[in-house]
Amino acid sequence: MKARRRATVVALLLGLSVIAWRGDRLEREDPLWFMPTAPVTLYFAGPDAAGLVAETRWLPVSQTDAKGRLQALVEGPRHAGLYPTLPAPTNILSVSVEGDLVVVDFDRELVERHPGGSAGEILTVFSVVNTLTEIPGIRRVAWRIDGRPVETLVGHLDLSRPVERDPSLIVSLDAKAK
Amino acid sequence: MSPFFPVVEERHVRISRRDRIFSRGIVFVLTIWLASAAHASNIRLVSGSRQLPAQYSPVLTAAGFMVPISIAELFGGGVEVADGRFIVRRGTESVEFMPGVPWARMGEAERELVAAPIAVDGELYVPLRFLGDFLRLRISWDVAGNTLDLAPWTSSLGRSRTGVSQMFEPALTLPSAGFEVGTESSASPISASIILPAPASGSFFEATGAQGDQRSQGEQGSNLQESIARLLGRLDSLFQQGERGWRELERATGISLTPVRVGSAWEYHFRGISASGIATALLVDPPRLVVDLTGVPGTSLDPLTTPDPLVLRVRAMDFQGQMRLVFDLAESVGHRVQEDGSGAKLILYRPLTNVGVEVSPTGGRISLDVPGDTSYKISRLAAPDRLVLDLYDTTLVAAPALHGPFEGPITQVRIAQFQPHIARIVLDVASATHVDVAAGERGLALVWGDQVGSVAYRIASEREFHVGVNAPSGSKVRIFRLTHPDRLVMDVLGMRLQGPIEEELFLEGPVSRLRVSQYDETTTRVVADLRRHVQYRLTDEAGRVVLVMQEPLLAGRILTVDAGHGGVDGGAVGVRRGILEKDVNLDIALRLQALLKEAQAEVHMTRVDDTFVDLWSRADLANQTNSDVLVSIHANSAPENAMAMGTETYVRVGEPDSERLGAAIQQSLTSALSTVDRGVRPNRYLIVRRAEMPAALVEVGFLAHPEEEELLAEGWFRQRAAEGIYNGLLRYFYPEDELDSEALAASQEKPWNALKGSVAAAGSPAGS
Repeated sequence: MKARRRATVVALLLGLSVIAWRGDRLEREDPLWFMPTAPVTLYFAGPDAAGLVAETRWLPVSQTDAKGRLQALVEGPRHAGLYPTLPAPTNILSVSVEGDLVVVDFDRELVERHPGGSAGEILTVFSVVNTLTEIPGIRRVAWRIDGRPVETLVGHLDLSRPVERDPSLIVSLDAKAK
Repeated sequence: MSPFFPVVEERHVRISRRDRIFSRGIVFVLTIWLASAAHASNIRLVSGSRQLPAQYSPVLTAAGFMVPISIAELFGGGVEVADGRFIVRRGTESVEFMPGVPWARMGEAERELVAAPIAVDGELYVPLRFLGDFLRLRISWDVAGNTLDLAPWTSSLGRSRTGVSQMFEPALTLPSAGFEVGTESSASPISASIILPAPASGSFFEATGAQGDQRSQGEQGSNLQESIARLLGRLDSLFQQGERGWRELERATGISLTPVRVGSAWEYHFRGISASGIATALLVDPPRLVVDLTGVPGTSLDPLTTPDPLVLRVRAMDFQGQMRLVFDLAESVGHRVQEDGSGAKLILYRPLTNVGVEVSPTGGRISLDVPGDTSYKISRLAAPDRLVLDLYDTTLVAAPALHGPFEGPITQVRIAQFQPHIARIVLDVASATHVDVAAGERGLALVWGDQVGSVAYRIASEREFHVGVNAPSGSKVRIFRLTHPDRLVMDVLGMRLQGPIEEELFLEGPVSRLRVSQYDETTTRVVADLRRHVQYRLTDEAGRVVLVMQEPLLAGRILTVDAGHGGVDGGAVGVRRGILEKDVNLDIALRLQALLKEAQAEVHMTRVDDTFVDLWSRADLANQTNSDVLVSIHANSAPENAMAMGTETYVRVGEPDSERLGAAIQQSLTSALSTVDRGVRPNRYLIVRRAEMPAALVEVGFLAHPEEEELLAEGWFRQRAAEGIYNGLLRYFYPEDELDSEALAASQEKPWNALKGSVAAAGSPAGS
């Protein structure tokens, strides 16, 4: 009788430690597994390159700031039928917030790798601006390449001053070009 | 709904056993009859002076002449038989017939036949008129000699032109069926060589004019013909609306009444009663034909309908114990009832509601809106010289009229009902002239002299193009623009072309192509395809309506044309071939510069070669030169997207003039290139925002799209893009359609050129 009780206790202890060990391991490998998430709206390009389509993504709460959203935008869309608006790979050098203004700084590969075109430039610029202005309190986005202010990305838009949100570019997924 | 294969199956299923036996019996008897008829026929078949072998002899049926299909071999055609279908080929054209099916297939289209072809002993008999049209034969029937003459056309009228002739295809034209009418007096009436489609009973009218009801054909064969007609009539009526109604009438009274189609007219066949048992009366207001069947007890039935447009409905009722049928008519027309072997038939005359009389000192046209296969006869009377056209089984519904006096060969036109079944048109002849009879699908016409309804063009200068139309007086003209591609359309209401008119192409000038067609029965449409944007004006030149089109000049206008990117800034790169945007932009810009210079504009270029120009200097150039507009030329792209395609134009927000500029360029450019129209897009951050004048940034197409990249690499596409932008600029600077009259070139001395086909009559050239 005593032996059986002892065996049960040992088994119980073994089981509990396995669970504890697994949990501990999980937390080390994927710290997000236990984190709360929140939905954010990201804007990607529609199939006809004429407008921006919203995609809702659940990001860990700590990553729903400007930098986190920009990072998610750079990763590209998950929804089939949407297209990325930033050439891959794009390096975000820094993202800083000053009141209602976000200053985004990309490395110059963004310009060198960009395919060009007015449609392309508008999608790039306004996917970033419309995404970041989803953050309450943010109204403008200033652009930097390699830390320096720029007149334009690829020659169609004037980026010398901060850019505001353009809601007219937002379309739904089945909207076609005019 | 193709009547060919699926419905043929269905038809066979729906014919009752009785009818099937019946039709087989007919075919059997017909075979015997035809076999002997080939020799016993007293109709001679000739082609010019050559007599044709008896095996090709025609057969006369209720619906007119039918000829063996192998006659095509005598006139340049070939006949094949495959799967029960008979195909006649002539050159690149072919037509398919099937026995028992009253439609023929020509290419993709199906054309209705007056009667279904009949197969006898491996030979197929088809309607002569239809086959004759296909083989381009002129068919004439000599009443006196009982001779049918088939001769190939040599006249210019009716020569088929691809594209144009499809708009106006007469069922049968008689280019030389006209004849000279002179001033020598002639004592007796003369019957000219013309086609007389055989009336339903298979008889012909003699040229006596005394009693219209004379019959010259014997009763032999008429039973068989009636049987065929009845069979055809059954097939026709079997599948029509109200079919049950007609059967109910038969069930109720024992009398069968069947609408039977004969050519483009309808007859009503009674079985079970003789002509003497039928009493008729025509009431007016509204027009009704009351038909009393004496000795037949009356019952009330639901109204019966027929496909005949002349009969709105037939009401059956009991009137004082007798059967009364009331035919509600669309027009007040005459009729007759005649015996026809196994019963009686009611023939309603066709209405002649409209006679168009267009007479000028040099020519004229009398248009008659009767079915094109109406029986008619032309004769000549003397003292005074007159030309008489008699339309058989026709009631003149329009008022009798006297037109004239006119100057020219025809001095007077009279229209009246000559006999109950004959409507007559008489032309008083003052001098020798050649008169033609033209028969279209809907109408007959007498034409002579210099044609009203001719179209000519005049090249007044490099930038000015005139179209002149000899329209009948009282015609109205309507002008409008169409785009994609850019065209100017002039509709002349009240004008009928006599025949197809050939289109004409122009390698230079604002008009690239001129086309004329019959848009509908009373409207002729002239379409000018525009290479350049034009303003226009209508003028009158001695009775000729002239449409003046002019490409405006840009003298005194200053423009800056900006070829986007350049030098180290290559712009977008083509997805498949690696075409560089900067090269596309420059090429289009230089072509645009050439066009603008030709229009005497002052043009400034931000670059004329592959050099880098910084962004702000582009707008600065436009500002410094006091330009009226700035146009920036680009080609488009989008990240990782090879599907997006088309043309778009960007303008700044909140500037009506820029938006108008953008819209004008966008419309002309998409018209010229036929690309997807992505529209005008206002944008707050457009790079041209420093320019102080209306500005537009044009994205011609997508280099990211493989096919569009191919096009953007081509010289001709770039030239069209330049022309599209150029036309857009013209449209922007000259938004009014109407041309300023002072701007007209002094062009009166330039010659008019008639479009081919406009002039039909021999002798006089058009206009001048």
